[in-house]
Amino acid sequence: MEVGKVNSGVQPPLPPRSVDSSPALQVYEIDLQTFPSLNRVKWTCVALNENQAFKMATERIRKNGERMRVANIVFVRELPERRSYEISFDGLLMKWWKDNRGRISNFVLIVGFTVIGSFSTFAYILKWILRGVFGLLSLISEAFLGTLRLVLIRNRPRERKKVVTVAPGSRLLSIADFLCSPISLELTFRPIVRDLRSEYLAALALKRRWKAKWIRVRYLYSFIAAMGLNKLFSLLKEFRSVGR
Amino acid sequence: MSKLKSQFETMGFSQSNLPRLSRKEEFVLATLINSGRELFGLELVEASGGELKRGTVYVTLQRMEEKGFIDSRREARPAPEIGIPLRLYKPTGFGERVFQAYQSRQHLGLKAVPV
Repeated sequence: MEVGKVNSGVQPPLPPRSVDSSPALQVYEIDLQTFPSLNRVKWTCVALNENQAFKMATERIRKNGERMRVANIVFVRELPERRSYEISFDGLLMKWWKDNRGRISNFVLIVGFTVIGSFSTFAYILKWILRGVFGLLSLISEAFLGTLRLVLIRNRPRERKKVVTVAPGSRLLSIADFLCSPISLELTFRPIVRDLRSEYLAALALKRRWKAKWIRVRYLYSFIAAMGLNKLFSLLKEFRSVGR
Repeated sequence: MSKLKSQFETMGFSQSNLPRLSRKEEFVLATLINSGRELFGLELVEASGGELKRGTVYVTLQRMEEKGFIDSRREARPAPEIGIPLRLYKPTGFGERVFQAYQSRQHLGLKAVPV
């Protein structure tokens, strides 16, 4: 092995290694001696250390099938340490801007921004136009569907509402039942309520709702008058019986 | 005049025992006698032309029934019908005689006493 000869040459002291786990790359200049002419050929390579540089040189000789040997390995310089960057898109953009700031003219910038702004404005207008068109379409469709629904509902057989109400005059009868004698109830108040119901139902049959309401009010007055008269006559009757 | 007085006495009334008949009661009796059939309260109100009111007619009818001038009955109704039946009124013989006596008295100019 000719390694010993290689190392016997004068070499500058190696620079201190970086503390970084990734070793720094170094540039080596290798003297190659050809056979049988014994000429010297210089070859430069980048390797982590001398051994790797020697291996790289012998590998090159073997691949090329040349008749030569490594005469000397000279350290030239150390490459700057590799740095890893986490570059974001903004960072790249800024880097691109810094790198190309001088090349881009203001005119190009203005045109670019105008195009972008126009596009956004156009998109905004288009959005509202589409909204209007679709809104109109939805209105038309709703109106059509609403009409259709109305037609369907009108043509549908109607379901009668089950309304349970108290017959008019029922409360009046209960009041009279509470306040008056059974004879008065039978002879005075029940006929009044009977007339109320007959007139009320007759008005409803003619679809005169307000007339029916007015009949209820009028019979309420009649009921109160009858009640007052009934009580007055009972009182007078009582006075007479006491007087006799 | 003497003929009317004799008619008044043949009815069994004198000036002292003639029952008192108010104007409304007289009107009710007249309507019932002239109709010749049983009437109910609302018919009497409609026939009165405003003389009788809906609120007072039944009180009047009750008083007249208590005095014996008129008689009432419930209308017979078929079985499925429900609700308050009509009450039909007709004059009694006493009521008719009192009415006739009052008619004669008006001609004689006599006054009635309360019963």
